Amino acid sequence: MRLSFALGDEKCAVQVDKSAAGYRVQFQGHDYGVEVMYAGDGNVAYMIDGVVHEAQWASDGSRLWLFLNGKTYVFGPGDDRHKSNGPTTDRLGGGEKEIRTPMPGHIRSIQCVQGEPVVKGQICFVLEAMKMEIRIHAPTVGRLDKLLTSAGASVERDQLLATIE
Amino acid sequence: MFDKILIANRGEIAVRIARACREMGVRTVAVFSEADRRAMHVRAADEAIAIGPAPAAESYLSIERVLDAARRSGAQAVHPGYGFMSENPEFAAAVRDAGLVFIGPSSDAIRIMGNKAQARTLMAARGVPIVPGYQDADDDVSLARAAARIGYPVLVKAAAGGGGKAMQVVRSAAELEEFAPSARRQAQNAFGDDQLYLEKFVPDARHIEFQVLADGDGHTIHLFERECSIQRRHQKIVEETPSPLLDAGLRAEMGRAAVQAAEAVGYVNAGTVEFIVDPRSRAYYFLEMNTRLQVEHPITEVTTGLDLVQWQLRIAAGERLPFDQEAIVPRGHAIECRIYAEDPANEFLPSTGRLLRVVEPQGPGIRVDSGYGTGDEVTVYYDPMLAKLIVYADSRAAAIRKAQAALGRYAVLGVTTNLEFLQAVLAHPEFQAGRATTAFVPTHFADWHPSREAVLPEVVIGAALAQITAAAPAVADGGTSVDPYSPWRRADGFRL
Repeated sequence: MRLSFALGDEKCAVQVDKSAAGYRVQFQGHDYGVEVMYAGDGNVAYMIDGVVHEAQWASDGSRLWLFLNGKTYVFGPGDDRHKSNGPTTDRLGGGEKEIRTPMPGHIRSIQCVQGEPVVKGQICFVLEAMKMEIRIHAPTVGRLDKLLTSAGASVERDQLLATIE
Repeated sequence: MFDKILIANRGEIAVRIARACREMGVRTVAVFSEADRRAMHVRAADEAIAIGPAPAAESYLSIERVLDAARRSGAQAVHPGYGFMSENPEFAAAVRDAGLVFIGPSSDAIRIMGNKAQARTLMAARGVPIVPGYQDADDDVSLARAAARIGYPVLVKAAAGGGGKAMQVVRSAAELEEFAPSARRQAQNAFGDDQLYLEKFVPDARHIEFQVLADGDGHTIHLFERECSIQRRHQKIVEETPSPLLDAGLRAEMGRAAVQAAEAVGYVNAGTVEFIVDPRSRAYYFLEMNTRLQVEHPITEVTTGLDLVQWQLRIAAGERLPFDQEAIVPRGHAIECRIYAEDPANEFLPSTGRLLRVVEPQGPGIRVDSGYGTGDEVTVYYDPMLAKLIVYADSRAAAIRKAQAALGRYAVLGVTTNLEFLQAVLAHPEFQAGRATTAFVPTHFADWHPSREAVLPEVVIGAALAQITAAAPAVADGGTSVDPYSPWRRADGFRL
């Protein structure tokens, strides 16, 4: 799977593949062996070729905040699709009413209906990526206003799937 | 001791006061504006009362509303914290007129020390050294004559002022002529009083203050100094104790002067006497007295072992100080770093928004006094200080290393902070050598920007893993488990 990010003006992309011990990650022509030791609640601890790292992270819907070794990094979506929308900060605040994909993949099933009410935390979509099923929850309570995808559809990271009103 | 007190403040200091009260078995009443309904200081209290809309002038600065809350809650005393109404003599008087105890000095002491020109006159009369200056008739002609006598550069200040407002270094008669009218206007706007005074400007000075504690019998002691030279536009950023500049002799002499200053106004409760010290001549001068608890009080607490807020309550409740000056023996070294929600890369403008995640450092000798946690909103209405990191170690070098390590484990996500700037300050050779003066930040950090090195692989991999693992638990456990130790939360072993 390929993931891309923007860090300031800089674009970076990684290729992540499942391996026996964890992941193989390719970045800037180098190959890294990555083992995840802990992941949960905004905390991820991992080992890259024997060196331990622990990151804190959080997402506001459009940006990923990552804290590692005393520095804070703010990642925007890496694909050009978002460039036309202006700076990522423009979309601040809109996140609560939107359901977006956390990563690229395929929509395996849809568990919500346009026009019907949704409750916060309800599973609305199941995304399939890297042989994983990822459940995408409603961020807030409301009525599903627009359903913008269909089962089997191929989606990109941060793609808008539905809006809630 | 009181059964219940009202905390007339917000943010970290209100949280810190509530914590002290809880330890003493005193119930607390928080007051909050509409913007603070779910704020940490409200959650830290036993009771909470709404006092008005978000703007401070209509809530935290309203004597009437705070007093009304105090009456309704049945609180016996009011702690003003710092800022807001803590140095408003009318507030202190109104609290006492309402039959409640004001946890702080008399309104007369606040008033006298609040007028900086008057305080200078009084200190000079009592033999406390003051910065050469001028605090009499403040018409343009008198000011110009006085400035010429003192010698430029001079500092023009508002008599009723503080916090750097209406204050400027003036380097010539022409500059004085130009600045005086605008300073008067600013002083009138900010403090309701346009009186100005002059001080000789001491460039490259050290800002060193002494904590004092006085009981109702007039027994006054000092709790040693805090070095506060690391400032930006008169806003302190890093403080430490002991000061790397003072030796035992000068320390004892300044401590005596601080006690004298407090006694001159019949001071009761905790207060701080600020001095500037010329590092070349080692001459020290009274600057002003802050008639309240200071932001940086924790470094004194950890080196003296005294809980200043608890002593404030005890003194206000009529207890006597059971120790003499000789009994106060500070140990080790403490440093405080103020964590501000501001963007050092963008002229230190305050940043606002929701804190998506806050992880505070922990460990021996590490204390965090915080007013915000994960999920809290940083609004435009109040001071952008989020928290204070206080570290304590046996030596200055060890304390610096501890502060650096703690900052390196301090995650504040969702709002831009000065955390990296603090790291840069601590790492600077001038600071490390203990030589930093009030000119340190403007001289070395005028155009400071966070370093932007090439993107490290572990950073991008961390971001990728954040995304991948965020989604992972739902696969295995159906998304219902909240147990962080559940084997299903392990990010390895994905199923097909």
